[in-house]
Amino acid sequence: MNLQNFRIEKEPAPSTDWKVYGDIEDDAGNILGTFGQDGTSVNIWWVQQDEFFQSGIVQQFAMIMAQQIISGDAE
Amino acid sequence: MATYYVRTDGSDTNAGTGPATNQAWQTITKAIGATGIAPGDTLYIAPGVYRGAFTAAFTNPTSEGQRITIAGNPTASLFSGVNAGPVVLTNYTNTTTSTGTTGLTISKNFITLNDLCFINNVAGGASLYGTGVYLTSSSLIVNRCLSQNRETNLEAYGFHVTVPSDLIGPIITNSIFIGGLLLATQATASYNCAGVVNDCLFIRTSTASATSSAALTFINSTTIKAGGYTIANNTFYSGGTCIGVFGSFGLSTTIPSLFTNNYFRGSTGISMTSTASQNETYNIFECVTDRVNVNTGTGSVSKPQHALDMHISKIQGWSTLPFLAPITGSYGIGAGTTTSAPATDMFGVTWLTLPTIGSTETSRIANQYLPTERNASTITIAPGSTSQTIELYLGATGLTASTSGLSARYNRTRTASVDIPLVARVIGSTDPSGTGVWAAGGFAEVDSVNMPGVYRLDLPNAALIAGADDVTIVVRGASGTNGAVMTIKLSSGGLTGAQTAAAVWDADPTGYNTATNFGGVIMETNNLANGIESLVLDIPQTVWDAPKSSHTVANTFGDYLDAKVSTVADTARIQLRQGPFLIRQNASEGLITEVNQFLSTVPNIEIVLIDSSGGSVSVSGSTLVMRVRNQAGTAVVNNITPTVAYADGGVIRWTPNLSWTALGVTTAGTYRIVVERTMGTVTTTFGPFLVQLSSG
Repeated sequence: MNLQNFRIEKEPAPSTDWKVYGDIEDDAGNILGTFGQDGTSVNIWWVQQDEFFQSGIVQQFAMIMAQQIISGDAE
Repeated sequence: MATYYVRTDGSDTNAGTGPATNQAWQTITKAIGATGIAPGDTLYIAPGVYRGAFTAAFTNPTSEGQRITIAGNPTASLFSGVNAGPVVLTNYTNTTTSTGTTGLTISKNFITLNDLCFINNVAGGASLYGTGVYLTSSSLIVNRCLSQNRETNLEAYGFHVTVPSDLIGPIITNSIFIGGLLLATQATASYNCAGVVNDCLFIRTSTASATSSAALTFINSTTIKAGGYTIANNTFYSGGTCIGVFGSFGLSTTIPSLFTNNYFRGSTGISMTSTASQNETYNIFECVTDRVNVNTGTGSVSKPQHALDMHISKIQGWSTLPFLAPITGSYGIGAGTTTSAPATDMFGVTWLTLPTIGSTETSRIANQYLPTERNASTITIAPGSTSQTIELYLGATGLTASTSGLSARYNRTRTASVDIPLVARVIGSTDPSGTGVWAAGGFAEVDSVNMPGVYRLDLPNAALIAGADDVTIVVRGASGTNGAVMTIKLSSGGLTGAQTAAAVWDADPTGYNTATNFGGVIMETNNLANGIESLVLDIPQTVWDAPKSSHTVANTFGDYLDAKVSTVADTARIQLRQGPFLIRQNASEGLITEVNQFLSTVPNIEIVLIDSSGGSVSVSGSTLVMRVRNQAGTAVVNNITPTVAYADGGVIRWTPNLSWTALGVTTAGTYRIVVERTMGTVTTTFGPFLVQLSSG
């Protein structure tokens, strides 16, 4: 799986969301899927996923949160 | 252009110009400080752990000719009294506590770092980069180094290289990066920095995204980009991205970089900001997402059957593949391209055909080489022997000097192995063109029908020169054989009969002047005819049976004996012992004895002096002379001093070891000899006796 034209953008305030843009392709360049012409908002997509998937990502995210808390970059 | 040395038991008060304890410096701080090395110098560091946070303060080199080399010497070949081991530079103050700051900082150009291990613990974080080693350097070279640093999910890089504005990128080879490598530029415009990363291993467990850190991360200080990197034959393991860019500061889109022959295993393979900034070819991707903003390149494959050996071959016992070599049957073996690829793998092994994808070449044969399985043997050959041939059992028929993969090497004690280029030869042929006679590396099967699997190998003469205890020969690498190992003990015990004979008979006799040893006896340096017959019983038969015609070099023992001993038998010069003759005092009975000899005869006569009553006359304390006169007794032809054999019995001998002719008696005829014994003032004459000399 490859991503082409991939980029992420911060949504304008007051939104705190991010948007993801790009095409999802195979090695032959066939588009398998897309984030949509207007991109996909992360928060909106996130809440649509099942709890099992979310818990796995949250556990990974928790490690980053812990590091940032310890380093003083976040609370 | 000086060479300096550092060892843990040195002293910073030393000059640093020698490797001994009383010569070398002790600290890295001294060595790379303002009073240490200078442009053009080389610094060698002995094995050991050097703790601290080191910052270079020496003068900045300004040209390639001023390049400074900072090299570990992990084999300790330069340092006596030091064991081999890693040369570790670390910011750990002990084994559990670190300073937390950058371990090594160098902001100088034209620097080479070789054979060093950087073990650091520097945390990452926003704008901190967590750099264990921080180099701001143009034309940097890094070879055979290890960088290991603590990992965090944000900007934690073990090794950080920044290329100053628009200058030359680093060349990084044969190294291992655990914790990330950051390549940064301070470009003011898009330009070709020509950076190279080849034959390296990257391991990064962080799951950080490409926009914060990857196993290999590119960054530019502005949106103006550098390009022209070559990233070839590397192996990547990453919990996040293998190759990525920091933020949006990607590589030049007008001067694309090349990523080729790499093995990527991670969440993401290559994540870039534009498809125009790079070309990827002949890579293997084992990733959730292979490429982000990267076009699929020629020869690249996603998720093929490909596994790297991390010693499973040793654990299971089927081979001893190098670490990270693809296991047998893997897709990437020989599947790479030679374009922009290094000539060898990370261990310096030349690719067998096309490069293998990843950092490590592997064996290409189905049944791997197991040197202990069979046909390990030992023979003895004399050191310095030339044109030697051995026979080996390889277990497969039909192999030739040109069989794919077949190779031979030899290893002399405690030295590196040496390749033996194989050349074809003909078994049993005496073809003078050279195909049948000995030639270094000559290789052929002895008899595929009656002795299948046995091969003849002509050893290079250099393998057998004196100076090593033994030489080990290995032939291996062809399909169907596990190879063979033969150890050759270099010992004079292996001399052939001809070599032994040559060593004896061709020896220079100069210096053999002691009558009690063989050389002295043969040379007869004590002027006695010692004879050699009773002394030779324990000399090897090969010596005495050697044809004397084979040992005729001038000024050698063989030549000497051939001339002296053999000549006697070949001529009329004979040596006789005659007597004892009894000659009476004053010879009142007239001429009592007649001796018949040739002029060429060596007299060798024993005489007993007797008185008129027939009793022996003591010659003890007397002076003796033999006078040789003509038959008339009127002229003395020669005066001779005999030796006393038994003084009280009056037994004397005349053994001049010279022929009559050599003694001055050159005319055939009859001569009279008397013996005069002088004791005090009294001289008594015995004889005469007659000697009849004939020609010949």
